[in-house]
This record gives sequence, structure tokens and C-alpha cells, in this order.
Amino acid sequence: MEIKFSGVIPAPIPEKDILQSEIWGRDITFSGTDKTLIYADSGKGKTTFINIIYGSRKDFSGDVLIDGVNIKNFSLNQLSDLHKSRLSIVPQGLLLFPELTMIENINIKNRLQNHLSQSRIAEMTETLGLTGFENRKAGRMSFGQRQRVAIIRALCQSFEVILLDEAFSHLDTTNTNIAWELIMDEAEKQKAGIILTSLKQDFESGLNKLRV
Amino acid sequence: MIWKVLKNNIKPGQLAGTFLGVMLGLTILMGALSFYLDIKPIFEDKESFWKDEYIIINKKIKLNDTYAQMNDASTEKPLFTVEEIEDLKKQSFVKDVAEFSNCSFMISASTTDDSPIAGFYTDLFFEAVPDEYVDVNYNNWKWEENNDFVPAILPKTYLNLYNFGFAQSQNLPQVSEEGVGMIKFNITIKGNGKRQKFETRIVGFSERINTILVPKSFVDWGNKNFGSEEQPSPGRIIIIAKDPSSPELFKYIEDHNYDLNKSELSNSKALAFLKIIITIVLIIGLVIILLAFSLMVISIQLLLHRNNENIAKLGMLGYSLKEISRPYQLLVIILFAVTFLTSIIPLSIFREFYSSNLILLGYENFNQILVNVLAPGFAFISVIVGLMLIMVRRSVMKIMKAN
Repeated sequence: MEIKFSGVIPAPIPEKDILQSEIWGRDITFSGTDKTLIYADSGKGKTTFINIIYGSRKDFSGDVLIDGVNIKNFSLNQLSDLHKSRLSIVPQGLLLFPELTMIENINIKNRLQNHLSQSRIAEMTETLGLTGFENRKAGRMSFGQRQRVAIIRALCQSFEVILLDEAFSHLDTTNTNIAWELIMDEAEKQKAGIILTSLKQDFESGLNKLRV
Repeated sequence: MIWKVLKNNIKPGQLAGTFLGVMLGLTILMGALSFYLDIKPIFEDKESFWKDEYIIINKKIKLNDTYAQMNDASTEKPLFTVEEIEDLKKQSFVKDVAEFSNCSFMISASTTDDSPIAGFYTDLFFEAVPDEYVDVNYNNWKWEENNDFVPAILPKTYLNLYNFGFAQSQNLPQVSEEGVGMIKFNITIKGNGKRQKFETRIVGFSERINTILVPKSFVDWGNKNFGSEEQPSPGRIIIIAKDPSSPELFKYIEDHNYDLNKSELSNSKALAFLKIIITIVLIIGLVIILLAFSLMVISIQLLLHRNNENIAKLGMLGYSLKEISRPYQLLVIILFAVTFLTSIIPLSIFREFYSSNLILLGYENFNQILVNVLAPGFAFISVIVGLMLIMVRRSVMKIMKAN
């Protein structure tokens, strides 16, 4: 998938921040298996950037093209298809269903494509140290646990690009590394790109880095 | 599974209220429809008093008229003039006006020698009205020149007078309508120095036209060939009113000093009331169902609103508009289907109630099958459900687009 930003300026960003940014107002392309780290302090528009690509924000000037099609012109159904099978996300707010159990939160995504087998899901759950929590309501899990659930959920679909919006903010180093490896593995398998945002510049080596 | 996150905050009370409202409205609508369809044949029965809204009027005969006519046979009688009839026709409450045709020749009737009432002889009169106002079902109500047979209709009150007044006091046999119908009479008409014989039989009894009726063609022909006048002015007129209970009609009749049989009007008034009541019931049913419908719209909107966040989350996960709308649409369909099916019970009870009452009144031929009532009800519900499904889809789309 090729994601192309040209001259994008989101509505709520101060002019000073635009001048310093390597994204706003510029022409950038994310393509193929590019792995990009977007870093900045809080409030500079990292989440805005992710949401613009995901099609859930339209209050910006300039153009965002996904494989040549303006994201603003996507119909509701095209957007659904995009989210279902081409573009995965771990949103900053996670957006789990607190009234559903952990395993239900994962399955409600997985059933759309039947992408992973239940044993593969169990494997991932174990790797991320969530075994035993399957039937716990998401609303009663810690933010760190929920973040891991959201990561597993994001892997329950085919994708060409995966968006990670501060997806490791509440994980310790060990769990961060495990989760990152899971994601890298899956991205490699699917020949997909990764775009992640972080407060820190030195998250991982081998990534393109852009400052918002 | 997605129902689990979409059904949050369903209020059973609201659903029950909606259910009751729709059921009540639907029962009233289908009940009124059923009642209407069932009694429509009674309305359309020609002999029935429900049928036409017509009233017979005449000029009041005053004591003065009697004196004047006794002293001078050429005195003007209280008949209707052409101008008066034209004026009547112009009134807004009048749909049409028909005249009674009088005979201006002499008529006598006698029985044949082989008749069960041999030796009967009487002077007689005939009148005629346009054929469409004859309230007796008789297929051969016509007369053509050279026909020897002239059908006649008597008022029902004549038969009653004979059976319960005359026959009883004179110890004569009472007769049925059919019995009278079998007796043949010879009639002779005289005038202009000519006479001619005919045969007649009573083919029916009229509930509302209080005269001895023969086909209009016979009276017209008789007046032309035997009469002293070719077209005598009518003494009585039939008014076909748009609404027989309209106050203007009464005022007009009062103002012109006309006379009418008030009891005749009570039937048409009853009909007018019945129509008003059925209309009111239909309107109430419609209002209830529309209120219930809006209650349902509001309930569903609230439900969607309360699940706003989850709808947005599902949208984010890649669920399509169709997939998210479907559970709500199913809810609507199931709710209405259950409502529709349940309303058949009170509807049947209502139908049972009124048909047993109508049978007591002597009306028995209900061929109204339940399906004839359910089908329009179902069509109505389908339209509403269709609208609701579209509304659900639109609301979900709005929520998805806003996030």
C-alpha cells in the first residue's frame, strides 16, 4: 500500500509547529514494507496523523492518497473494507469493548475474516502473558493488559500497513519487545508496512524516523 | 456476538410500550376495516334502509286548501311548480331531485273469477318514480307498449294495515307477501272516451315509498293516451341529499313550508352517525398507531444513541454499515411481526363480538375472511417497517460517519 501525504495541514495545529514538523505541509510517501517511527512530544498531532490515515478525521487541508485514491473520497463501505482487510490499527485509546471479555474482544475482530485460528490466538495470548484472563471483562483489566489485547486484536486481520499509536506506552521493556517481535513477524509474513508513533525517538533501530 | 455490544441499554419498558401501542392501533385499524367490509354489503343492498340518502317531501295541505278545493274544483292544488323544483336543484345540499309522476286518468281494479278473492272491485290510483329509486329488488321492473302485464309495488304499511287491522277485525285470512304476489288483478284504465284492460300482480313491498307504484313508462304512456293532462305537476318529490342530516336541508324544508316524513330520516341519520363513528374510530386507530410508531422511532433512536460509541468502535474494526444495522433492523422486524401476530387475538374477539350482534339483527352473510382484513393490515405494517429499516440504516450511517 502506498500512503501519500501532500501538503497536509490539520485544522487545529499552531503555525509554529507546522514549520518544525517533517510531516505537516510536506510531501511524504509511505510505501511497501516501510517501517516508520513518528516521534514528537505530546500535543503535536501524532494521533491526528494516525487518524487522518485511518480515515476517521477529515478536518485537514491538503491531500492524503491511499494507492492514489483520496481518503476523503472513500465511501463508508470502502472505508469498512479498508479497515477490515488492508489497514490495521492499535489506537491510542485502544477502543476495546469493556463489557466484553478479553477473548470476545479479540474474536469480534477475528470473525470478520477468520484470519487466525483459535490455537494461534491462544499462542499469542500466552506469549504476551495474558493466559488466564480470557474470560475477564476488558473493563476490569489494567491499561497495560488491555494494550496487549488491542495488539493481538490488531493482528487478527490481513493488513498492508499497521498503525501503532503509542501502542507500547504502558508496557515494560520485556513485554514491549515481545509485542514488537510479534508485530514484526506478522508484518513480514504479510509483506506489510508499519507506522508507529512514540514520544521517544530511540524506540528501535532500523526505522525511518520522522518528527511531527 | 455484535448484538452483545449493540443491545446495551435496551429498555424493556419502552419496548413493551411500543408493542402495546402498535398492537392497540393495529387492532383498532383492522377491526374497523373488518367491520366496514362486513357491513358494506348491507349498505349496498338495494332494499336496505342504509342505501340511498333520499327523502320524500310534499307541500303541507292546510284547511284552507280543502275548503277551496271543495268549492271550486279548478283551484290550484299544492303541487310543485317547475320553478320550485329548479330552485331545489340549485341547493348545495341536494345531489339530485326526482319527481313523482301522477296519473291524470281513471283506474279501477278487480279480481278474476277464479281468484281466491273473487268479486273484489276498487277504484285505484297509480304513481311512478324513476326506476332507480324503486327500493324493491325485482328484475322485471319495466313496462313497454303492448305489454298486457303491469307490475305493481305496494307500501309495506298497506299489507300491515290489512293483516293486523282489517283481516283481524273482519275475521279474514292474513296473507304473506308471497301470497299477495300470487293474486292476479285485472285493471281497467279510462279517459278521453277510451278504455283498456291490463293485468297486474304485486311484485314487491316498499319500505319507504308510500304509494302504489307502477313503472314510469306506464304512467307516461297512460297520461299521453288517456290523461286529461300529459304531464301533471308532481305532488311529491324525492330529494337525494348529499347529507340527509344537514341542518341546511331542514331549514330549507321549514322555510318553504314543505312536509316530510321525519321517521324516514332517522335511518339516514343513523347511517350518517355510523359513518362518522367509523371515521372517528379509524382516525383514533391511525393516531394511536402513528404515536406508537413515533414512540418506536424515538426508542430506536435512543438505543442507537446510547450505543453510539460501540457502533463507532465496530465501524473502526471494519464492520460494514449493513452488518451494524442488521441487528437493529432484525429487532424492528421481530417486534412488528410479534405485534402483528398478537393483534390477531383481540381482532378475532372483536369480530366475534360484532358478528354475533349483527346476526341477532338479522344479517347473516358474512363472507369476510380474516385474510381480507389481515392483508391490508400487513401491507400497512410492511410500509412502516420499511420506513423504520431505512431510518435505522440512516442513523447508523450518521453515527459511523461522525466518528
